[in-house]
Amino acid sequence: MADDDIDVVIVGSGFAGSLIANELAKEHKKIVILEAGDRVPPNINDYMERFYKASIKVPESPYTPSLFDENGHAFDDKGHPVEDPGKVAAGRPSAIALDASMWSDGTKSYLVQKTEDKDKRKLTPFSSTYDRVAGGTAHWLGTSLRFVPKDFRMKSEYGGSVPEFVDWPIDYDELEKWYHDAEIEIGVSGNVADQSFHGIKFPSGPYPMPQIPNSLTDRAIGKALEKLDPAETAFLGMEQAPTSIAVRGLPAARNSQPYKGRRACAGNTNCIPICPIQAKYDPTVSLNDALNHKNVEMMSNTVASDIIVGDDKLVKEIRYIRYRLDSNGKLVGKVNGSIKAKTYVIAANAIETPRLLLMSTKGPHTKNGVANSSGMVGQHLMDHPYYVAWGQLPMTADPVYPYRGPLITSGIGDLCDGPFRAKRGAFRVDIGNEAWNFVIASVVKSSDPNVTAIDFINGVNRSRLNSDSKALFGPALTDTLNRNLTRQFRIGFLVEQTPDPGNTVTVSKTFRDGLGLLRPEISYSLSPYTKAGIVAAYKFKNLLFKMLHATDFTRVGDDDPSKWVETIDGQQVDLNYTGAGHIMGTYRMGRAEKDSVVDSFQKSHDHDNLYLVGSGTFPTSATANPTLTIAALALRTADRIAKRV
Amino acid sequence: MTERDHRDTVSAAQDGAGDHQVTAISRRTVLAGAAATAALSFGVDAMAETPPAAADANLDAFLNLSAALTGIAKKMLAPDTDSLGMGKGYFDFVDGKKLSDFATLLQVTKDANLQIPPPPGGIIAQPDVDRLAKAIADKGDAPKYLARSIMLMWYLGAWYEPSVLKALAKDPKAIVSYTVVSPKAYTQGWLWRVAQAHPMGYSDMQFGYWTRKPEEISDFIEFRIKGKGA
Amino acid sequence: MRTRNWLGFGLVNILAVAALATWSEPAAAQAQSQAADTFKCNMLHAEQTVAGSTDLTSSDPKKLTPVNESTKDLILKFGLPCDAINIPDGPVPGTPAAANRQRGFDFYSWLTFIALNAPADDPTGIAKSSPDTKAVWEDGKMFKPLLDVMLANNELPTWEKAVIPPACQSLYDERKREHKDRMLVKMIEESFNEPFKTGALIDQHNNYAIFDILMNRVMFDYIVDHKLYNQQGQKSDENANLRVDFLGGHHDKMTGLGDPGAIMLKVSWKILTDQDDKRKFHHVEALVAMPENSDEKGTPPCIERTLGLVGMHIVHKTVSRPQWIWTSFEHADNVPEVKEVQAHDFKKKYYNFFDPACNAQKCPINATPPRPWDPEYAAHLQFHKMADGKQFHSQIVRMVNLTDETNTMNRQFQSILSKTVWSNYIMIGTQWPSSFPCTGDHSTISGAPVPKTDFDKQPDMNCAPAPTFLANSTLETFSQGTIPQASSSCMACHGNATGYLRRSASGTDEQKQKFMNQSDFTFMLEKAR
Repeated sequence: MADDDIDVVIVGSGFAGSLIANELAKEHKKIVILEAGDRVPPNINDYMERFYKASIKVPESPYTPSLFDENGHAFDDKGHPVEDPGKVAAGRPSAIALDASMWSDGTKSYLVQKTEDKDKRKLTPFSSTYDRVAGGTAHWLGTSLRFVPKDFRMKSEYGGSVPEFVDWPIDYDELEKWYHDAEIEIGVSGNVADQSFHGIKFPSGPYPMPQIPNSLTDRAIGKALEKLDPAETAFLGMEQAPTSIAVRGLPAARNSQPYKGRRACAGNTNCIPICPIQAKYDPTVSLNDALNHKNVEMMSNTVASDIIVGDDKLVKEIRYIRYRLDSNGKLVGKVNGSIKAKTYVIAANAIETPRLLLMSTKGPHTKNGVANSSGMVGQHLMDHPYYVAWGQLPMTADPVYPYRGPLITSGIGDLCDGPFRAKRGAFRVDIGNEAWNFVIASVVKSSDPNVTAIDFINGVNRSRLNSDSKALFGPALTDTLNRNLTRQFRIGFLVEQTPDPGNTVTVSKTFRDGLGLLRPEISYSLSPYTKAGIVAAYKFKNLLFKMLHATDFTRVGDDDPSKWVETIDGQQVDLNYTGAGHIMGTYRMGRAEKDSVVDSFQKSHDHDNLYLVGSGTFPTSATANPTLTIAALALRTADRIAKRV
Repeated sequence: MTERDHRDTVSAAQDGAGDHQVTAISRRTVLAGAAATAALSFGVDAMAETPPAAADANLDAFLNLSAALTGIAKKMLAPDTDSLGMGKGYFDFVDGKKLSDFATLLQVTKDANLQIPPPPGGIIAQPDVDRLAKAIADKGDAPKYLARSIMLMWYLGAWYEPSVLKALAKDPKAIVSYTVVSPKAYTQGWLWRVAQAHPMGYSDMQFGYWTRKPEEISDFIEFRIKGKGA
Repeated sequence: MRTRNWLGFGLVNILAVAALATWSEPAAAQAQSQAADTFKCNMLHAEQTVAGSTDLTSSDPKKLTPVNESTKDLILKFGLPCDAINIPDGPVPGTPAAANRQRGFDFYSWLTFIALNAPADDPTGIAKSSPDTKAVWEDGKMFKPLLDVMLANNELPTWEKAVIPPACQSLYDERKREHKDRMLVKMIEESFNEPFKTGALIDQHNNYAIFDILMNRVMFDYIVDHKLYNQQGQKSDENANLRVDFLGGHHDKMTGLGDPGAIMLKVSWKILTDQDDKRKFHHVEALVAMPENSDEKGTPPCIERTLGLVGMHIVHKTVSRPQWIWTSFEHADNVPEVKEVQAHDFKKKYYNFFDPACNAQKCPINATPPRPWDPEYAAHLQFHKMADGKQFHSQIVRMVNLTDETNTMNRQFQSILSKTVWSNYIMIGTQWPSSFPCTGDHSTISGAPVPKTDFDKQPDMNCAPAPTFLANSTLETFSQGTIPQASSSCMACHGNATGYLRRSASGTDEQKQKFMNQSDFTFMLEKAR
């Protein structure tokens, strides 16, 4: 279609981008999507093959750009990453580059991460990653939680003690209809009664599918938390010290029955990084639906490089670089281009969007970047720092049989709000169904069950299960492995992070990607408020393990760059965190133009024809996974754009 | 100017008949007695498994070695009606490395004269296993670690070099890397079945199975036929 | 001792043939006891015929022995097998059991294909059939389209009633007055968009390929008896403990009597135009109700077209293989194999879905068509032109070459069928559950205590499908390959099939959670409205 005809250009085809494209497509708007990465393949043969062969199965492992050589190795003989972020056309961070030797090395890590701020304060790794392909971060778990009402009012509720908090310019009641619409569009399985806690209500209607059945691990943990001594739970700072804590199912975009032509979950236990049967929704579903309309086109391998704003403060055009790769993924050519539309939507995630905005400094109104009169673009970078713990039930207990079912089927949400929030970050608890699979890698640099297996076959003790380092064979081996593996479990805590001005995404001055564009630079650390949340998580973990009579195997690696020491009940305790994959806050929404970048419709305060969508607009992080809220806000934005374009 | 986005091609040839265990039919014989019995019955509909024709002695030793050390029933590693061919596939994989230690392992196994118990079960007894393990260890580090590489290959579908395992045994902080033998091998890893589960990314099960206890471990690793068999 | 005494073996069989019942409607599904079975099952199997004069198993193409007339006759007339007969032993010592059994299943597949495509009004008469003779499976008394079963508004389907789409009513009435028989094809998205929305298939004359799904009486009766034909029924309390278990085909080894059991079909059609030679295809005159398109206004039209059969899946539940037996056939002219493309040496000049004259740049192999895929009403199942005014044709290649054994058996059966249109069809393969400890655990034939078709008692529901992957180039066009879970495998995919949840998933009692939504390997139940 000719440029004059285009109603909306959308940069990015992840959750927000694909949902908006699909909604506008249904309204017969003329859409062009720019996608930095590769297009949707006709099947997932390539993704699954790459995953199966990967020798380190990180969340990015199935997707392009490939992290691996033809043998599935991510590192060469010298231990250097096979992938050079300086050469990749449209790169993305990877979990393989997060250890002490790599995380702050811009020649190895795509994100240029700083180790100290301008005041020489220590900075720590931002450990979350994303994908850069059509469909965006398809490696997500599928969790589709709504926020609780208080999450939208952190300043009104707790701003007295925590000045960083701001209120959202929208509340639960207003967003509720869009939550429901999002649940229908992506297909969420859940149980309304189970999810009606902390003020969550469902006036618009129930989930479209029944909830996913829980796992044996879920039930074991639920049982352990049924009868608690309030003296032992007082530390949580809830309204009243709980005498029992509910384990609730996790509403998820995972089919519990056939839905929109997709199969029900078969428990491949692989949601992250990829569901082999697409029982888990990913944005390629909505993207393909959008592309199935005449009025929608996508340009893949097209990186937006500059947003040009005119004298009238409206976006005039977006300049891009289109690149070509050979069959090995090597860059073999690029051309520049530009595209005009009536309205522009940037849906490139909360790191790539501020990068683009801050790179776009041409024109009289955008010396500090596009949409940045507040100076807030790139500020208040948040994640859910993820504190993990792992243990084993005693041999006298019934096994819980992990490695079965979706990666997570239940969690604890009831602790996500309470008076304590004036003092420390809240947390939500994930109950993992995959035993020590990835958690042990943070210490041992290898995942399970490989580590446990190698321990008992090779007579070593990296897992700490094989205390006499015996090498076993035959029935003794299978029996020992079985007894040990079937009683392993792990939990994770998503901790609320304050929107700190020092946590930022900027544009590196030195490191470029394969297209010559400057890469994102990160400054990140945890506030005392957030660390206090992790301390509470640690204590809760101890309580839970005690109630389970479980042995705690949680360790922090000596060289873990995220670790610090806390004194808890007189003891020196090593704590650490990893990333939940929830990138938020870097172009937040708000009513006041000087304090925010967009309004509740995610429209830029500065430029009337520009929308910035995704979790970058979240002014506070809450504890729930952001995706459903991203989707709800996206649908609301699409509705708004449709009415005005 | 925008262009319409075309779908990509599927890239070049995939592996062809790799999953078939078929040999060319080179001679013809007639089923003796078929003509006679046919008059009365409409033919044999045999579910019963018959032992394969005289297998290659080295392949057989490899299977015995694998079954003994891994603790999985030999007939589960290499069924009589074998549509996957993991046994032969893994044998060829290791044999292709041309390691003298492999020949050592095979010989030690042949000499061990292992007893494969008949079904139900089929798990080689611990004393036999220990005897074999000791005999291997007595031959030195190289065969010892190669045996462990072979065990891990069956368990995880991935190859850990014996040298890597040896280095790890000496230094628990040594870097351990592996190479997945093939996507198929990954999906046939036995460790997950020892855990009464399945490889992450490959489930043969039905919706909801995870909310129930799995079957007994014997269902996963032993050779059992619950029905009458025929 | 080699014997050419076909007659010796065949004596009993010829009597059986003489007494062969024409294909009558199978005994009602309720009659599960063997005593009531009256159906005469086809009891031929590959090794048996080897015992006779013919060599149906020679892999040497030069030594293809002409099949003698009485064998040919038997094969063409015996009818439908009720179960596949296969044994681990074969004529050649040293052949692995898996290969011998594969041959047994492949032989069974050809017998089944012949039986289902035999003339509806003369099931023993395939030798005399014409390309447009109505086949057994096209007879409304034998098979019913899925869409006629899963009706809207909780309407109860009846076997006798064909559903005429409103758009086709007037054309249908007109043809009826002219005494012209028309097949009714109702299209939904799955009728042109392959499973899980993987893509539409466009032939060399720019027409969409059309897909349809049918079930036999046994399946229909089960669905109606258990009220599975709508969502409300599936989710009802009375079905809370239902273990969906379609009747398996079975035969008595001594009498040869039995019941074929549940059979489901998926077929692919090519629209035949003046540019096609109709005589090469089994073809029907059809009224095709086009599918809805949300970008269009009004109702989709009904168009009259000649449809040529290009692909056929036959899926058969049997007591020896409760994971069903999965057979696939194609028209021989559909596509080249990847080895032909690599060698640039094509066996044919013309293919239904491939242009040998177009190079890989201009015609990317196995590429999905440019979107949108939904047929435009005015275009009457012609694919829309591309932006540059050109027409798109799918350029499809079979990515996994057929095995030598498959090719051999195909040649032999093609020679048996040589005077009919059916010699233009080839078997792609048969997928069957090969792990006996696993399949035996569910099989009545092996006397398993309770056939557990919800498979909660088995770590592996699919029981090692052999071959591991199977794809029809017209029905699983875009998911061919050999990557587990991702590439087409009948059983790996259908093992995931479910209906609607029959019970609330919450609750702590493990017993209550047993039968959730398993549907016995069919996706049909999810089409309930």
